[in-house]
Amino acid sequence: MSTITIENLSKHFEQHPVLQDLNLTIPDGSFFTLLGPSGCGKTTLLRCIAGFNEPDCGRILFDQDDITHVPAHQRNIGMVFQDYALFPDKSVHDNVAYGLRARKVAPDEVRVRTAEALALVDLTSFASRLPAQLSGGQRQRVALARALVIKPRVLLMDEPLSNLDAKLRLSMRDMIRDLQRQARITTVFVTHDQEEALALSDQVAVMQSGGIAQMGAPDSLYALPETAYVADFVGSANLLEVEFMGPGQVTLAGQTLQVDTAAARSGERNQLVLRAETLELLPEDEPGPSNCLRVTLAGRQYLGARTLLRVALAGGLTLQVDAPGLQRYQTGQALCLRVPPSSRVICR
Amino acid sequence: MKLVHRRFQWLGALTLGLAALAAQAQTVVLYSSNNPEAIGNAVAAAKKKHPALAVKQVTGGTGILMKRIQAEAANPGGDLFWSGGVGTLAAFPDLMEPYVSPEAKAIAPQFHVPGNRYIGVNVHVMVLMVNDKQLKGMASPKTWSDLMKPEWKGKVVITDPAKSGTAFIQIYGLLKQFGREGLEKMAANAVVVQSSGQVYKSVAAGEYPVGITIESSAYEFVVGGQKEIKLVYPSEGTYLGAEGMFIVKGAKNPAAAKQFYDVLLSKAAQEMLLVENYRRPTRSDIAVSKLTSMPDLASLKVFPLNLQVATEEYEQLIALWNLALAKAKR
Amino acid sequence: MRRWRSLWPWGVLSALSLALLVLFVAYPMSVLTLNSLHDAQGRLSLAGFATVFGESQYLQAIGNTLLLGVTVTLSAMAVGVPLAYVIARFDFPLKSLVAILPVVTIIIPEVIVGQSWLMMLGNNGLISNFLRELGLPVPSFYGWSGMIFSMTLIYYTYIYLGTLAALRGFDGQLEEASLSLGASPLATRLRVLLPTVAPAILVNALVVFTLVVGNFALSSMLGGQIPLLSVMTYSLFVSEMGSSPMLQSSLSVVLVLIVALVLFVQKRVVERRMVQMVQGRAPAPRQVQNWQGKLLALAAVLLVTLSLVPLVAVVVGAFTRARGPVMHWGEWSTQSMERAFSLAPEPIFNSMLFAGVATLLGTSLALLVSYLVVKKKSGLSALLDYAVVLPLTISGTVLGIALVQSFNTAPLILTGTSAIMIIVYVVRRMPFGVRNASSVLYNLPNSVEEASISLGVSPLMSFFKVVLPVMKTSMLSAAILMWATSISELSASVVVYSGGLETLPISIFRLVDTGRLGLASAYGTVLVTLILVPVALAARFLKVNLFSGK
Repeated sequence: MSTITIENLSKHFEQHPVLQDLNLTIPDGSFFTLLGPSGCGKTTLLRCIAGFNEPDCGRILFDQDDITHVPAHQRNIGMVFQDYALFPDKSVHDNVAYGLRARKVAPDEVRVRTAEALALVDLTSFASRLPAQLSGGQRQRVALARALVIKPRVLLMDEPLSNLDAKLRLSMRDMIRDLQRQARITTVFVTHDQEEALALSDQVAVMQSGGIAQMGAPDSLYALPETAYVADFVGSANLLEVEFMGPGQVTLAGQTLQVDTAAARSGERNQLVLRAETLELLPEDEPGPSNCLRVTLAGRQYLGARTLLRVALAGGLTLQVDAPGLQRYQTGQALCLRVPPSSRVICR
Repeated sequence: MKLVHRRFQWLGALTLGLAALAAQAQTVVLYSSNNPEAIGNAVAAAKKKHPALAVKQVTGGTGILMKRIQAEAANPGGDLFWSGGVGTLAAFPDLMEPYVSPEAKAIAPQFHVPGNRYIGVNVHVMVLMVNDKQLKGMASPKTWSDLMKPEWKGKVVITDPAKSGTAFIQIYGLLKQFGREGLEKMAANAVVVQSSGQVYKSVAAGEYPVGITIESSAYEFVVGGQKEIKLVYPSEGTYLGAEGMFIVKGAKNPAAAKQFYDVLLSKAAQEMLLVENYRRPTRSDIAVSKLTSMPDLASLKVFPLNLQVATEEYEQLIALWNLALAKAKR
Repeated sequence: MRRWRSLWPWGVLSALSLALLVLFVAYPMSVLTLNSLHDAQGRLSLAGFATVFGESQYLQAIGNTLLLGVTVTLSAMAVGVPLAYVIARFDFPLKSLVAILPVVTIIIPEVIVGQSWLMMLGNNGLISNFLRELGLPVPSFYGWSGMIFSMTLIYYTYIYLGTLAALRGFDGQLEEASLSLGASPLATRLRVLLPTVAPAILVNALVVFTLVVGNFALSSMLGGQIPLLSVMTYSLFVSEMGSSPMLQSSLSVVLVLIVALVLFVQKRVVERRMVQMVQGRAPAPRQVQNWQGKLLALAAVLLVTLSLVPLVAVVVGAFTRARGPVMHWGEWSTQSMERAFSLAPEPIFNSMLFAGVATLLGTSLALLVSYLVVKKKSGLSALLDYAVVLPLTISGTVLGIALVQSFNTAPLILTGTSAIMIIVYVVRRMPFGVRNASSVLYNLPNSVEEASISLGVSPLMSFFKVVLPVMKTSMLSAAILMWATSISELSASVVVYSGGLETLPISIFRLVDTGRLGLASAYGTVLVTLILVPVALAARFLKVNLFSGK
């Protein structure tokens, strides 16, 4: 259970810079997610921490220990891979016991700890099976048990849930979170799925082109994105260019709105972040609180629990609205789009 | 007590060492161009006389083996060579270790050479090997001249004299007996193959009605039970070839080589090789016709050849033969 | 310092393996090439090549060899392609028999095939005599007919396996699309199926061509009087022993260039055209009923029987009474077998020893090399990849000659030792083991090894604890393949061997040459048994598939 400190880490592959002067501290015992699209460097960073990639410069520390040049097998890490990486010729039991045996743990203790680990992931009755006889979810649980049973300093997970189907992913998220909390082990989790990031993490670092775009707790990333990139990556956002009129006020398509302009700056390009699920559609002449934009309904998709609606502003700009239940508006109908005053303006 | 132990250890080591040496002295590497049955019999005879003798064999054609011995001159791999045409052997005196065997006195004088580098170990008689089934109505040939008739064109198989010592003697004999004209007539009818083995194999296989080969090779098929094979000793006179053996100069196992050499000249071995492999002995005390159904040499018409001179005229003969062949092609 | 550390252990191992291959393949080949360009006095000279391209006997040999290559390739295609089509598309009684055919080709060495067909169809052969007694005309087996017949029966397997794989990977929906667009079944086959499958057929056809061109055993046993390249090169080697090797080297180089040219064409022209089939489902085999089904079954039985004839013939010959060179068919005797075991068992021991050591060495080396090439990619390992495939382009005769020329003088004298026999086997047969192992390694994700490392096991130990166990089956099948193909190797070992080092194929070859078919059959039976037993055991008890990755 160690704090991970990354100092000035850089790496490039064949003239391409993949990580650029990264600095990061991952607190002991926290669940830390690296979030970003493919190519942003998140997996490379994880593998640098694991020891499979060698950084060009910079340092990596576990607590006070500089492990930058320590070989991977000596770092005492636990790693869970995207394709599970179970040893195909060994039973579930032997897979989980592998790391313990490598550490020359006494056979009795191996048996006890392996049994405990298998119980934790609910696979006790599968101990003698071979990986080929397991489903994807079961394999991933074995991989998890295998990584945790050795009580590593850090737990590293490289998109472990991407190969599972949607329902399984949800239940596995629960299991991962529970196990991590129980073991209180510093965990670095790599994913491109922002839902996973938000659901599991204590802290999320959104990565962009080898650097960190924004780092923080999930709710602050969602509510207070600092750049368009982050706004659109964490949750989905409508980004509209607006004119900064003064504290709390912006104009858009000739209409004035009250919004959170804390990050706005005059003279800069300011964009308003409108989260689809926070927008409300009301009939045009609805009385009540203002802060509305005049829009027409361009299209809708009814999804049962909610409806996705596409509305158009005068001037042609379209916005996505995510409204609960059934919305009985007609295409072409003039509507009022209510914007919550907490909507944020960013200027990058 | 300790002293006794030590002595035993010394004795043990000494015995082991001697045994190793003794074991070494009992191996002999035989280079031989003869067929497996003959070699088998030779080895059996040797082991009967010297039970501890171990024989390693390298087989191949005479020419190939002589080349090998020559290439290995600095570091000989073989100990004893058995056997090759004396004409071939005469060209390689530097490869041979002179030796006079106690059995040599029983060998007929014409098979000795001054210097005792090698000795004649058996005699070959040139014969016509005829496959009755392939004659297809033609009369079986009785003489060399028969084969020179135009109806035998493409039907007589013979080895390239440049590749075989016995074929050389056959062609040389034809030249001496029938002159250039006779040689050219034979060349016109001949099919030339690259190894002497191919002659008797192809006649036996029925590819040709007649082949010019040596008695011991052809006789194997007769005794073996292939009824259509017949031997014909040309009535105008046939040719003899002697085969010799020698101890390789610088041989690693000279003592064992000499043992084997002596055995091959002994009466028992020469008789066995006669009866079982049809190889005519060079000893003067063996009666061939009493032991086998092959005729005594004395009863055959032989056209004498001076093989010493033949060796000297080697290049010319090969050239003449090739010219004759070329002429026939036109 | 860090740089050097990263070279251990895999960088060092790559360099070592490369060095071995350079020493025993590249170096001898350059010695051979140099020898082809220098005369007896050591001067640079093109006289060797001038002779090869000037004298009619050599030109004839080249021409005949090329003609033989083309003819056998075409006839192998004529057998292999239809067979593959029938197996891929139809179901008929006794279809499973055909599955054993490729295994049979492995089990029966070429030298035995040649000998057996000679015993059956040679002029004094069992079947020939029988047919002659029936009054039927029997053509001579020596020469073109014998060679084409026996070579086709051996080489069609390559075409068959390659075509079958291509057909099985062919997306049936393409054919359905064609039919739906109005093309007839025949046109569909010609315009859609054939062009896609053709490159796979061609690739294998070219391989067969190079194998025929470099063929030694069957060419010399059945060739009769026809001048052929490999046979001629061998006799040049034998007659030039001790003198200048220029002519044999020139002829060898010509042989290598022909093969190299063909393989170059294959790489550049044919493989470029190979269409990557998107993973599709091949159409399921159609049941064939009544007389057509019976006809196919009959053809299958015929093919299998023909392939098995040599096996039966050699065993029959081993127990047939033989007096000298004459085989008395119908009379039985164990004399030949006794002679093989008691009088002259050295070839048996030699074969087992050399093939055994070569199998151990070759399989380990193949495992190492394939691991380096697939998992530890580097500039060095890319070179290694090429170096390993090189021996496949060099015929056995040429390789043998090159090795003898390179290692019969100081500083490294290997001729006359067991070492050179083992080297020949390893160099010639290891590439197949590498191919076998590589295909398994490609399917093993890197993450499995990394998982082991992350759990605290060093990279080297991870190789032994995680990679090796996964490779177990493939290594076993590579080892068996290595054993079977080493023990039956002839063309290179007959060149490099010397006194006391005769193996079974060499002895059989010599015995057939001197007409001793009884003893040859006895040795042949032992040879086939030595190959058959491991193969059968593996197939039966270990369910090993010998042809993964072939």
